[in-house]
Amino acid sequence: MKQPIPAQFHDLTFKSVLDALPCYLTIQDAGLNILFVNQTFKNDFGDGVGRHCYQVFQGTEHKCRKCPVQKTFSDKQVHLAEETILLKDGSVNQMIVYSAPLFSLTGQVAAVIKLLTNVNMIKEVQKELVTLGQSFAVLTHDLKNMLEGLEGGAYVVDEGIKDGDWDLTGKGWNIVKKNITEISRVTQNILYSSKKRTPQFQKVKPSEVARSTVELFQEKASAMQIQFISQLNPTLPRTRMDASSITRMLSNLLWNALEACDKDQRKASNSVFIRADYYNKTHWMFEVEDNADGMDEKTEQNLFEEFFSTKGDNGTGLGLMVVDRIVRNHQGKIELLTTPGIGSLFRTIFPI
Amino acid sequence: MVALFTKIDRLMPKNINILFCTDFSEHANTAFDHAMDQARKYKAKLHIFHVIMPADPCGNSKTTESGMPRGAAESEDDPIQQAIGALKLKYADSLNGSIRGCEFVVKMGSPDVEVVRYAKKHHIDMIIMGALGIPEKDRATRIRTAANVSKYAPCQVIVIQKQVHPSFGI
Repeated sequence: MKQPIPAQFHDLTFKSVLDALPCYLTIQDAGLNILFVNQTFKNDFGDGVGRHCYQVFQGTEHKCRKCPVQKTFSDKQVHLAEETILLKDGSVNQMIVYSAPLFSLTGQVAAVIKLLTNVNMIKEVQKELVTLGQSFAVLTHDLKNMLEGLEGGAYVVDEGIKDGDWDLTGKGWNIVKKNITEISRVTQNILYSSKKRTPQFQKVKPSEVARSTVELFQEKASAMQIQFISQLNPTLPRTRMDASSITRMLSNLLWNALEACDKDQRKASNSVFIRADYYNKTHWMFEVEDNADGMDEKTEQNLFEEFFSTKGDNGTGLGLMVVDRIVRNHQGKIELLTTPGIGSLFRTIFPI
Repeated sequence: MVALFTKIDRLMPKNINILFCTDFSEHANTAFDHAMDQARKYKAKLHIFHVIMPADPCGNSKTTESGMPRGAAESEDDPIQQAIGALKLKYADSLNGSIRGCEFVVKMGSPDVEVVRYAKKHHIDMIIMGALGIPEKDRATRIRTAANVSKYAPCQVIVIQKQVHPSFGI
């Protein structure tokens, strides 16, 4: 028996239901012309009626190679596809697309209804899960190496104490210290990259942050026989920043520069420069520059990818990823100048 | 200087590309004379290059802070078209002699990064640019453009001071 429609739904029209759907809906003819769109579609794409679907969704004048709508017209079946769609605001979104036939009285496909669901958020979660898996593999391997280094150092210390050899003990202790520093640095980067932390913004002088960070590395640079040169403009005004994040960012850049110099066997002496100055009247910048080996084009392109490292077993690839994240959190920009055999200059630019 | 150019003569390949970078300063004007001399000498293609520094380098603002001359606009709205118009107005009439070709290029960003990136991408054989043409107090940026281009460019870089006579050493 047919159920009566409740009174509160009497005003409900077929179109209002379609408009309320939380997905994009179009009805298209065999020429891929859009005949009907729902309100959700209009909100994000504008009124696309009369245009071809590939013009609206892809911004091109060419049909898509694997068009589900065309497939539905040819075999009268429901088809599913995943497409990259361009919204009116210029954003690129991943969508799951369903195409289903609308039959005429003669049983022919008169039109095809196309439903598009935005799955960007799911894709992001997917990406994070992949990243998590990768991070476990990479970081476990790297931490194992560092712990083995720590064990090796402890063994040398033990042998030194046993033999009363203080030189040997000192060497072993240096190995222990080096590996503790490494583990501490990697752990801090893991914490920074894995935890969604809220930046604590406050007005700070960039030159003061740079000076205190440089102090942390002075001794290490001397031990590595690398010259450390700071040029910090004291007239830079106090600017809004999360000082601990900026310190982390600078630490990672300085550490990379020092390690690159340490690895460089071709030059008689190596230097690391740190500069803090105006970029223009409304922006300031940090520059960290080394005269180590520089980078080739391929390395330059992959540099900010997660877990990309040029240091082999000695690097996690987290350092520059964290730098990139901190710069973005501060609405900044990062630039790189590098040439193989010459060196590298990392410039981070921030609004004043 | 003479020795430098003699060395460059020997090293220069065929189908040479010369990149002349200008900030429209007097140093750049002097550098242009040198760039033309070199382009004629090697029958080279001359890339006349200017970088606009956006007011907001971290966003997409297109406001220019460069020293580009006013009144040369082809399009009032597009600063890149404006700058190309300014380049043509300033240099097109002087492009005489047997050079292989000329291209006017304008980019937005940090001058040193854009110059080096362009030189790498377009297989530039020689960069000629003026020394810093603006007094420190009036400078839009503290970026050490000439020093960084000299260091990171994939080719020879000649930085010209206004005081040097154009024919000196060539």
